[in-house]
Amino acid sequence: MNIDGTAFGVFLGLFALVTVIGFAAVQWRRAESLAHLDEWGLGGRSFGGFVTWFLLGGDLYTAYTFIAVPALMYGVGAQGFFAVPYTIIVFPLVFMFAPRLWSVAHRHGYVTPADFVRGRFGSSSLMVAVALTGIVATMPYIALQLVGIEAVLQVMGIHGSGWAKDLPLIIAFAILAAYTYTSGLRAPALIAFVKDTLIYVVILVAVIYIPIRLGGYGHIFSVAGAKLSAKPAATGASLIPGPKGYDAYWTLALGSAMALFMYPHAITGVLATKDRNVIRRNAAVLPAYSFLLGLIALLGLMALAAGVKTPKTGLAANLAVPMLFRDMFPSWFAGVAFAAIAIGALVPAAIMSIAAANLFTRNILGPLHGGNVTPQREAQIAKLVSLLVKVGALLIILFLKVDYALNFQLIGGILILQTLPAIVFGLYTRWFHRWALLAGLVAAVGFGIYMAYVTPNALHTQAHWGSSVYHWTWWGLDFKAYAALIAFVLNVAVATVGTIVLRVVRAPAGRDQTTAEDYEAVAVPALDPAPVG
Amino acid sequence: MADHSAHHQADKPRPTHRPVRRWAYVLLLAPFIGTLWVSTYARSSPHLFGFPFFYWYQFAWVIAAAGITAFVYLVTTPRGRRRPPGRGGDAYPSGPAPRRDRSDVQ
Repeated sequence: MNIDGTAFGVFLGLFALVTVIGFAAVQWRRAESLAHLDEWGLGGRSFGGFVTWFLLGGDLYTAYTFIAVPALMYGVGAQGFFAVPYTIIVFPLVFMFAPRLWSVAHRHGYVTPADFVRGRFGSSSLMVAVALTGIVATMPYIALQLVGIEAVLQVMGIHGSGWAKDLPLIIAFAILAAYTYTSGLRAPALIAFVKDTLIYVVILVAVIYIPIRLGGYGHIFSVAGAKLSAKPAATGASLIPGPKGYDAYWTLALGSAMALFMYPHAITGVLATKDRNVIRRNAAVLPAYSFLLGLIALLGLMALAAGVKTPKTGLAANLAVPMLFRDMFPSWFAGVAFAAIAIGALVPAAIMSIAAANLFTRNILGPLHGGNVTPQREAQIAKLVSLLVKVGALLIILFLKVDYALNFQLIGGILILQTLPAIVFGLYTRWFHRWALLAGLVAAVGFGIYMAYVTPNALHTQAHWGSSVYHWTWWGLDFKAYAALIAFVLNVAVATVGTIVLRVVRAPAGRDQTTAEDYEAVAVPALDPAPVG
Repeated sequence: MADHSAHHQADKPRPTHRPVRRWAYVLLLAPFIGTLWVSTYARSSPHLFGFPFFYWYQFAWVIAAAGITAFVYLVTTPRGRRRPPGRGGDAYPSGPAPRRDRSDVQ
C-alpha cells in the first residue's frame, strides 16, 4: 500500500463533515415524526425550487457522470458522449409528463410510481410488477456508485487483498446506511449542498486547469483522436462516430432519457417538491448540469491526452478520471476532488435506496398484509429494506464483472424503461388494458435481459453481459441499438395487441381512482379524497 | 368537482389568468430532432475553440434546449395573483393536500 497522506487526510476530513451533516439532517425542517413514510421518504413533500435543484442534481449527476461516462470516453471515444444528448432531451420529457404525475400523486397521496399504476388501472399485479422492476433496476445503478467510490479509494492507495479489499467500501457504505436510516431523505438533500459545491469547484478547476497544462482543448482532441484511432478496430473507438455507430448513439441517448425518470429515485425527487411548478421551472434550469456533464465527459479524452494508462484488469478504464486527477492536481486538491466524487456517489446511492425501500413497503409488503400496515411499521420496514437494497448492489459488484461501470446503469435502464407504458402512457390515457400492460412489461423485461446476457464485450474476452448495445440481425435487419429501446418496442407492441384482444373479449378493465382534473389539478388545494381502492 | 373549485377559490383573490399557449409545447420537439439525428453532425469540422463540430454542436444544444424549455415554461404557465415574497407559487398550492384528503392516510 502506498497512501497519499495529504490527499487522504483532506478526503477523510470532508467525508467526516458530510457524515456529521447526514446525522444532523434529522433536525432540518424538523418533522413531527419521521415514523411516517411521507416524512422519511419524501421529506414531507416540502422541497422548493432551490432544494429541488440540488436534490435532482444529486439524483442525476452521480458516479455515472464522474467515473463511468469519462471511462467510456477514455475507452471508446465519441460513443461515450451520448450522455450529452441524453441529458439534453431528458428535461423536455420531464417538463411534459412530470407535472401530471406530481398533480395526481399529490391529490391521491401516491408516494411511488407503482401507487399511481394501481390507482389508475386498479391492478395490484401490475403495481407489484412495476415495483419489483423498480427495485431490481435500482440495484445495478447503486452498484455503479459503489464502483465510483472504489475507484477513488484505489487511486488514493487504499486497497488491500483478500477480504480486506472491500473493507473501505463497506465502511463508507455503513456510514451512508446509518444516516439514511436515521434521517431519511433529509440527509441526502442536505448533503447535496456540500456535494454540489465541491463538485462545481472541482469541475471548474479541472476543465480549466487541466487543458491549460495539457496545451489546450485543440491539442487534447488531436492527441486523444490519434490514440483512439490506434485502438483495435473491434472496439469501435474513434473521436467522431462512424455511420455504424449512429444507431447505438441515438438509441442510447433516447433510451437513457426515457428511462431516467422512471427510476424510483428520480420520481422521489419529483414528488418531494412542494408544488407543480417547481418541477417545470427546474426542467428549464437543470440543463446547466448537462453542460458540466459534457465537460466532465471530456475528462476521458484529457486522460488519454495526458498519457494516463489504466490497468488492464480490475477497475480498468473506470480509474481514468481519478488517475488523471492524481497526476494533474497537487495532493491536497486531489483529496478534495476524490471527496467530491465519493460524496457525489453516496448522495444518489442514499436517495436510490430510500426510493427502492418506499416501493417495497408500499407496493409489495402492503398488499401481502392486506393493507393492514401502520404508517409507523411501514416507515420502519422501509428503513430496513433500504439496507437490503444496498447489500444487493454490493453483491452485483462482486458477481457481475463489466468492462465499463456504465454498463451497470445501462442494464438498469433496460429494466426500468419497461415500466414507462404503465406510468407515462397511463398519465395520458386509460386506453391500455392492465393485463396487456403487464404482459408487455414481462415480455420486454425478459427479452431485454436476454439481449444483455448474450452480448459479448467488444474484444470477445467475455461472453455475457458485455454491452447493452445489441447487435440485431433478425428479419434481414442489421443494426446495433440499445437493448432497452428494442425491448421497449416489443413492450408497446404486446401492450397494444393485448389491449385490442382483451377489449374484444371484454375482459374487466379495473377501476380508475383518478379523474381527468387530477392530472392538471393545481388551483385548488384538495378535492374530496378518492376512495381507497 | 366544479362546485368544489368554486368554493375553494371564493375566499382567495381572483386570479387574473394570462392565456396559456399550448402550441408552444411543439417547440420541445426541436432538441430531439437536433440531437438524435446523428448523421447531421457526426463530423469534425468546422472546429470552434479547438472543439470538433461533433462536440461543440452538442454543447450548443444544451444551451438551446434550456432556452427553449424556459420559453415554453413562460408561455404555458398561467399567471395568477402576485406571489407574496418568499412564499409558494401563484395559483398553485404551496403545501401537500390536507391529510384527511389523501389515500395513504387511513
